[in-house]
Amino acid sequence: MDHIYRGPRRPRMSMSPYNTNSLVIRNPYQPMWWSAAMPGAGHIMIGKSIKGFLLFIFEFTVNLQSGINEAIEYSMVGQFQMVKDILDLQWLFVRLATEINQFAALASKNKAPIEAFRLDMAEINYLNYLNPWVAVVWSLFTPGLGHLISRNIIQGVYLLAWFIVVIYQSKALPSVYFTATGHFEEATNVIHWNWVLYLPSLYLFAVDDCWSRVIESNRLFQMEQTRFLKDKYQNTSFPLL
Amino acid sequence: MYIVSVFGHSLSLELALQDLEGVIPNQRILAIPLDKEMYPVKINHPYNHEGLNLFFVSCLSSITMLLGVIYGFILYWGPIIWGMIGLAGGACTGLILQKVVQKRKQLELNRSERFDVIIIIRYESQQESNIIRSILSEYSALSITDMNKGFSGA
Repeated sequence: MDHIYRGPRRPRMSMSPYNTNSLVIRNPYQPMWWSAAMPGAGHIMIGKSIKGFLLFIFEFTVNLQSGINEAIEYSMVGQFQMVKDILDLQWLFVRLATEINQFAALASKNKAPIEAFRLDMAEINYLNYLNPWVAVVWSLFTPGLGHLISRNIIQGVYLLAWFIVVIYQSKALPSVYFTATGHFEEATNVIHWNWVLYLPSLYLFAVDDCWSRVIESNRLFQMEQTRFLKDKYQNTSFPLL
Repeated sequence: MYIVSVFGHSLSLELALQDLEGVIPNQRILAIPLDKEMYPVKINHPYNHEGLNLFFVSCLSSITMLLGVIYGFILYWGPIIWGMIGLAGGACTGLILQKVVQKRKQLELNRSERFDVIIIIRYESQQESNIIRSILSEYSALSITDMNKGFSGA
């Protein structure tokens, strides 16, 4: 009875027409750092999107209600307070990321199937080679666009929505306008401290996350195509010399 | 008589193979994907699979951008420009530092990124050879060579 084959215990990846999720071995300090910059980001990075989205909302609510960003702005001492606040969350992250790494290491050893193409009536998702810098550059224009390019639609739309909220609430665009016309004092006065301080972590998280996602999907594409070629074009009767 | 060509992993490779199968039988095509698992990924490996530690770069630039925005409020040019200076400065510093470390550790994981699959095709007439070569170059093979008279040791 033990020999019934139930497929791999740990799949390498899962693909839907709207998103690709995969088990990746990564440096645990990477999700830890992003969860320090923006709680929830680390979860999104290691593939726990729903939890990450909820923590994102939590971060915005708590930060805005307690005015932590303002505290950071008034005195850099405030940052220690913030670090203290999310220290628990961070150590949780090292543990969580290591756990995912161990699963990924186990999954990479067995030959778990890799899907190459998914299609439904609304969307198409597939593995293909993409230059990761393309995604990085689009993410630098608007966070979320890089994820849309790498076909991670759910994360892309989510980040895009937050970016729009932040850029609107922070009045960053009027400030850009005043900066461009040389009215630096008005540019400083019009901008909202509470909101604009989200922008650096939002931007750079989007860049780093979509970079790793593109690299991982390139890797999966290579693995899948390698398996296909070995299956079909390595006939033992090939007359070599 | 063989034609040897090199492809990167791409969709055009599969299109080329599909077209080739219209001309010659499947058994005369040999595809050799080169092994990408030469460098085992360690759990604590700080580098991404391409050998570039973009995590370090974006980490550094998010800090410098944040500092740029914060101190931009009290500096003359305002938070937007100082934030962008912080971003650019952090990214440049990060990339340079990253390259220095990479050179010192001699991590060149991305060197052979696009040269991945060797395709060997056996042909039986000159006409076939011409067709095969035109198909391969149409689907942007990275390089093609015809081993027509190479075996006699001449």
